[in-house]
Amino acid sequence: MRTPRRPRVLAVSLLAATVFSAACAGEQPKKLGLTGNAALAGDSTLAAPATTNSTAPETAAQGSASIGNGSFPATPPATGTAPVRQPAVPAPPPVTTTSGPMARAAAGPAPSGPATASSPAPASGNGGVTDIGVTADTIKLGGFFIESGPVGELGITLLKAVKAVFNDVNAAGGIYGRKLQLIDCDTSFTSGDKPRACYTKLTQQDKIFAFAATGDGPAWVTAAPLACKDQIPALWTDGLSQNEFTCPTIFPTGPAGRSQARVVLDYYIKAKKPKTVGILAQNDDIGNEWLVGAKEVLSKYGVKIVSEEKYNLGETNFTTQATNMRFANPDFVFFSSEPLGPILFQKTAEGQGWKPPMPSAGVTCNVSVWPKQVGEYSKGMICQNPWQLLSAKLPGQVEFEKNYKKYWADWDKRNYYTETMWIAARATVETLRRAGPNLTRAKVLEVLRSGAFNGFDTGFGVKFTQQSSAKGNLFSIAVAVVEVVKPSDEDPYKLLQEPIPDPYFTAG
Amino acid sequence: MELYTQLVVNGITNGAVYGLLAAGFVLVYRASRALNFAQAGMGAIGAYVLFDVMKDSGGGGGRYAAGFALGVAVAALLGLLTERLAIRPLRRAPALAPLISTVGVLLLLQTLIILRWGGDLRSIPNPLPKKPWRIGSIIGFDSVVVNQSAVLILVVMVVLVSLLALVVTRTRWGLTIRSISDNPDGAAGLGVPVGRVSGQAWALGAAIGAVASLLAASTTILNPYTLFLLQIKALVVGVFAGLKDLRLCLIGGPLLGIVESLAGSRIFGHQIAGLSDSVGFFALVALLLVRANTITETLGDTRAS
Repeated sequence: MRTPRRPRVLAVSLLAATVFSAACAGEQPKKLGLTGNAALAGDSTLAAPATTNSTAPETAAQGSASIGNGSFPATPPATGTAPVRQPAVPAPPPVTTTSGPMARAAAGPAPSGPATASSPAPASGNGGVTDIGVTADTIKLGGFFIESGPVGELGITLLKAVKAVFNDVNAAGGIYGRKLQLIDCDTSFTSGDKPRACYTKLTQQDKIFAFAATGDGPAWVTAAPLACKDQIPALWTDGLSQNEFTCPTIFPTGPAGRSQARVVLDYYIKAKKPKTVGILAQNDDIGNEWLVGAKEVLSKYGVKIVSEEKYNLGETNFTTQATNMRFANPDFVFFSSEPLGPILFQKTAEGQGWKPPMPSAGVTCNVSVWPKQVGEYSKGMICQNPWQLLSAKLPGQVEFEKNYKKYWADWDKRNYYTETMWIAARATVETLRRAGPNLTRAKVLEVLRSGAFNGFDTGFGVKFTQQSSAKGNLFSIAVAVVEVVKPSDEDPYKLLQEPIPDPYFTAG
Repeated sequence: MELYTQLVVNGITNGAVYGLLAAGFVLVYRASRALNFAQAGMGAIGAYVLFDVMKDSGGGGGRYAAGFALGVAVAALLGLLTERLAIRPLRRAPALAPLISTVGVLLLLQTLIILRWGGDLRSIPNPLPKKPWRIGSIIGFDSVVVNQSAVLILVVMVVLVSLLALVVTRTRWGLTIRSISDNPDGAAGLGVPVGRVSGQAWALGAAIGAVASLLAASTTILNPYTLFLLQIKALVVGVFAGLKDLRLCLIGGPLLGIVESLAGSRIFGHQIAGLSDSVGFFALVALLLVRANTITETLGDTRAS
């Protein structure tokens, strides 16, 4: 009697394991508050924030709000290194914000008309199907996002920031009557196979119009050459990978990893005049981005690398790296990485009674989770930030907070890349609006190459500086330097250096 | 030389956690012939319970002790439930079935953690000593240090594993475990309450694993992923112990720790990122080849039963 039972038991076990696996993959976003929205992990369509619970995000307030414009100078300053052509597209309809950005967000019920950043369809229609991914009702956009893995909890806020912006635009009628449909693909802060598969899916299966407000830097190490070859516009990527700065159809929002490293190290070496350094670097393509920039500056100032320790994403034991580094006795330690590894490294170094100065590039102490987890040991850490600190309460920052909190409850998990992607989403909306109702990829690229975004005010204390070059239109982005002064505070930072353009940046 | 002394010291203290986890792993295997891959998940749930107790606290000793006990108790309960619901019904199934079942439980527990606590990094406020002892100064190696918490974990490991080994070899309960291990059907025929003893072993194994997980999480960072890698290392040490001899866990844990520690250094002139964590897998393959007879015999016993 035993024999027939075995296969059945095995089958049940396998089925249970499969169900559990599926649950693991599918349940996380629910916790993250995405199930209430139309947009879920994996393929998703962004719906306007509806007035019913079935489609409203977990913290969605009723009503809609304008995505404030007013971001462009009346006359774009010609600060690029090469001649900037005048816009070849029609000027956008005037923005009618009257009482500050998002002023209507707090005003209660949804306005019946479209929000200010959205554009109504012309009386003659919007041209219907004008290009791949564009119909009379929707514009299909795709993006790589970090939704799982060791930094998934921080990464998911990037997607949420984009959704918050797009939700408002859709609620106000969309862009020339077309709703924005975002299809996100989880690339888990990796380069290689995942982004390659996502790229194929988004471009060949989903047939997106463009990549938009897409926030996984490592993924772009792999995807940028593909998108560049296929001439698919990538509107306002996060900018972390240098590949995003070397293609005429890709438009980065934030500074490249190597720019982050260069500005921080330039500041630190000038201030402290160290002779030796130990480096802890993430052992992958994106870790290498920061490392390349760091080594340029270290070489310029003649700072000797006495220990270079690499680690793989997800590694959990840093005793060997901390020990090797401590015995090399560098004047300072430089982190070129995501946050988890260096946090464990610091915990280990603390356990060994060792605390060297630790300036860093990458997603490090500028993510508020870092000072909270490391505690007092993180006091004095120096890191980069692409924008003014949120404590500056600049108009764009206030608008960001209101817009994000309107849809999501995890404000405490936002980080500077959340800010970057919120800015990227706004820039995407503005780009599509400027391209007009007869939307095509060619028109979008024309808008972006025209110089129209030269001087674009992010609202975070930084304006884009567009630089035309042989390889396309590039944007040199600013980098600020901050220090952790009160690890347990909501805002633990002090601004050491205002955001400045990367002095080493060349347009290529 | 000073550097390598430090690396060996690091390895011994890191390996204490592996040894402790492996002891729980081996105990469960002996009582039920199941490789409990869910052990790390049970320990992780216990660690999150401790986190809940300790969060927003100053890390006081009394509260930590209560939270620690609660975390271990929850893990033990999970061990008991797993045995009752996911293992006992498979007692007559092929050896692969309970293994798959524990992997399923592990995934379920990981999902529960993400649903309940999210994927964030967490620090558990705790009263464990954080200062290093400069133990190397005795032999003129002033830079060689050992963290006080790491010493505490090592002591806990030695005491608990030694006690467990004594219990299994010298007590009546241990005798029943050994009889089940040797011949479950025969033991049942002689009136040994196989199910009950197996459940107790699962609870105890999960509790021991939880002690390791809670201590590890208290001294590093807690997130849903970090503790699970430890399970693989416990498996390596368990195989080193032949899935049978608890005393070998005392040696195997620190030994694996030392190998890992040295593998991560530039001992051969080059550093290979990730080698430190992956050397355990190489060790596992090597052990399976070296101890093939022991493992085959054990699995053969299971199939025969």
